Amino acid sequence: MPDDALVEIKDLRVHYRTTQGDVPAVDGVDLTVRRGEILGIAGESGSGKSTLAVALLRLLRAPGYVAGGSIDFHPSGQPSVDLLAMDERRLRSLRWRSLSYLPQGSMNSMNPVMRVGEQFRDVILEHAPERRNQLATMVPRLLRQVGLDEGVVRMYPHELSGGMKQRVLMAMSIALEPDLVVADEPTTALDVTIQRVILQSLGDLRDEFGVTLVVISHDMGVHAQLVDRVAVMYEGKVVEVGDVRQVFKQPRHPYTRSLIESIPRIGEAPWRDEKRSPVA
Amino acid sequence: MTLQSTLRPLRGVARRLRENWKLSTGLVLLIGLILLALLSPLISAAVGQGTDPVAIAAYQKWLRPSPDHWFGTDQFGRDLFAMTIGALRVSLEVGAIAGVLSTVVGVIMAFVAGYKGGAVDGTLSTITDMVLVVPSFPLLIALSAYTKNVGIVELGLMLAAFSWPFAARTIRSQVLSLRARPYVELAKVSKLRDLEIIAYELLPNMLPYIGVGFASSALGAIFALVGLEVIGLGPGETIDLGKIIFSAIGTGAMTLGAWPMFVAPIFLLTLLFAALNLINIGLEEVYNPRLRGVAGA
Amino acid sequence: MTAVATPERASGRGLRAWLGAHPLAGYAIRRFGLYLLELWGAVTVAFFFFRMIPGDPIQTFIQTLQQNYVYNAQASAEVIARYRQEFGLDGNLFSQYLHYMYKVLVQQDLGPSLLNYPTPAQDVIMRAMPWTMGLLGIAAVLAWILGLLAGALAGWRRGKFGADLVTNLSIALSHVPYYFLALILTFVFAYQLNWLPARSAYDARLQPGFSLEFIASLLRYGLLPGLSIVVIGVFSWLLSTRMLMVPVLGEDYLTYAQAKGLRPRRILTRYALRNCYLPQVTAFGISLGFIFNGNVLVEQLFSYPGLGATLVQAIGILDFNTIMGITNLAIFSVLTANLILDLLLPLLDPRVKYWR
Repeated sequence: MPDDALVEIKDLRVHYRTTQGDVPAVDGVDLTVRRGEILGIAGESGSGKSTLAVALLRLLRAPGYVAGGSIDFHPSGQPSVDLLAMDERRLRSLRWRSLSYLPQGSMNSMNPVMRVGEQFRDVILEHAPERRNQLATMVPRLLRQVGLDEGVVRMYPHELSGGMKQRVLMAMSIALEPDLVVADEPTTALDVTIQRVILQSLGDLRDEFGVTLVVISHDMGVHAQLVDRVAVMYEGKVVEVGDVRQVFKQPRHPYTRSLIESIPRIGEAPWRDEKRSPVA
Repeated sequence: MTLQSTLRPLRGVARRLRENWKLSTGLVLLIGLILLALLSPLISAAVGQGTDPVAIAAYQKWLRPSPDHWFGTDQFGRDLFAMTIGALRVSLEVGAIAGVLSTVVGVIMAFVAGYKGGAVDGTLSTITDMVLVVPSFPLLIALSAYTKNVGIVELGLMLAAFSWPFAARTIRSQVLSLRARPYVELAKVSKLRDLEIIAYELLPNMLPYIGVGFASSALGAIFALVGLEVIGLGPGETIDLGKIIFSAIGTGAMTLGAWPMFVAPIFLLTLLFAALNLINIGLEEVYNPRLRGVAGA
Repeated sequence: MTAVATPERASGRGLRAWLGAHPLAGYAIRRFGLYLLELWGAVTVAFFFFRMIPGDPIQTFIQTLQQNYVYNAQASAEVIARYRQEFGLDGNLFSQYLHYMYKVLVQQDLGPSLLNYPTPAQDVIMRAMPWTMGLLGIAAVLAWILGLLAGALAGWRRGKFGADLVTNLSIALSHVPYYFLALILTFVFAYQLNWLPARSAYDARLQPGFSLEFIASLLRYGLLPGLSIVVIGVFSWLLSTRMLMVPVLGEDYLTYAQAKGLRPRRILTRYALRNCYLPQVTAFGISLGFIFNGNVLVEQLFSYPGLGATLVQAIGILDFNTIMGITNLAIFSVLTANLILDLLLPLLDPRVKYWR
């Protein structure tokens, strides 16, 4: 076991029960998330990357079920656990403090009848009741960190734009300084300028808080700009995993190659930009 | 539009009948009850053996249940078994008449309102809603208490007058959703006449909902009449299941050991309710996928 | 709004601008207008319906007077005419209608009752009202709350044996008429087991008052009629709540709430139930009318001295003033409840913009 491993996924198999029998969605995945890194998971829709994320968060719903494997989680300052074997109550105490989730902003992830502030309060008081007194300063600070006005606290989800929602969710995901944030398509359905800003903020999160991020995205451009390492999934299997520059430069799997080629490029390819260009 | 394609939905009904136990059980129960009701003259003849078993003073009063009189006799010495089966027939007839009438009115209102839309829809819907707001049951009581010489047909008519808005409301919303379907648009573009569109495109697809409307208004009518009879405000001399219950309560039959007088009509009504309710739920489950599996899965 | 307007136009625009700035007020005004229209329409429909019933209440009334007072003289035409006038039964139907509306709206007078002449109809109604309010009001609200909670739970735990059993039970029972259950309950608990009384609202040997004994008697006598309304009500609210609940349970915000590690009970109440109870608030208002209808029979069956039983008695002797009074009260309550709930809804649900 590598010392810096935060999550170790071993031989994970997730199946869906259908009338035509079981269909594997994740088919024997081995993957390690290192502490402090941003790990990208790429693949087209149906490749199993979202199912992998859902299984990692233990949010799998029928007809999906875990058919085998383990997910060892090593949160800082706490004993290691197998996320798949934990009982519901202990898992609940781990959620958000150690394991948090950043869903796609275009989804209906926020309760439509609760103000943004209440939804922060909800989760903070659930896991860190000792911070009750700090709530009034804490929530505005979190919102400012993602570039939002603190007036958002009093707004309802339907009053927010897609980009604002994504940022609120982002602020919420790091409210309790978790060890791991699983971000599921964090930039999908946003327009290009906002995508950039969101990616920037996600990068900042790691730099400022040291959170470990798992970023699920079908968009290779996102991975090129944001992640350290990328795992490429195809038909439920991880076909390639490695340093993002390495993968982009020398894709070993033909599927990875076709994914990279599918990025629309204007002028230079994004992975050759200044910041990320290999120092030769 | 050929005959075959008009029949297609009907063939679907047959297939779904096999798949949905609620629908099939309900139908079997209902058919059983209808057969029982149809046999009532034969039963009456068999019990009476030459005399009318439900004539006043045909037998002794308050006979206990026995092989001769399965349910015993009532306060006028009438055979309760023959009387109950006869009453079942009356209840079913009233339900059928009221059900058909209110469904027809409801369907017409709903189709005109839903299909025409706009001001026509607005006016008809407002009228429907207003009739729904007036407490209908007192009106029904008043009507039945003061109308003379009402037969089964008049009764059905009266009950239908109060139940059509329910049918109209449910069917209208279905018409509204069907109207927007592509094939109706297609029919409009191909310049079929309104009536043709309604008859060939909308009606066949509405059949299950019309079935639901019929079953629920028939059920409503039967139980409204029983309700009237049970409190002794039923119209005229008709003997339906409710009237037997009323005399059972009024005469204290339970204390006289004549419990079948109360239990038998209640039992038949329960069966009838279960049958029509099962048909209703079955139809809705089969044709409204949103409701499918409400009860399970 | 830049042009310099004449005063009249300015005021017209001012109103429009004010409504633009206060959309909720505009909605409220429109909704109130609709309310008045419905009120008038329903009362009018009811008036003409009842007046079209054949039968002459005054003749019957005079006959009873003659029987009761052994008053043998043939009632003179004047006496009959005087009574007709007093009861607002003279002239043609339309002038009767105008007269009635004038009395009710301007003088707040429902006219004398026949049931208990010369007591005014409103007194007869006021005497019966607390019974119905107590029985029906408590039963309806209780059924709604219990049904909502049970339905939420049945949806939440769907697939589990108990929850599905309850759901199937509700499917079977939710459309049973109140009186039908009342009959069965009476048969079992009053006649067979002899546990509970089958008639009346309290023990006739007791003096009505705030004694413990009397209140206990009220509860004992109210249990069977109340139960028949509550049980059926719970089942039907359970079913409709569950139907609203199931799609909400599939919403993303429920998954997210679970990911947040919130307590299941909190997710159920604050996330799931809170997003599906609002349609049930509206439905409650609409259901009041049906509940009133069903209650008429229940009260009559149990000889409960409420509005329903009074109404049935009034119909028995064609006491138009009492009949109309109770009918108007029912219409008024149902429509007013709907109005209040409709006006409350935009305040309860931040998403809904009713003021389009």
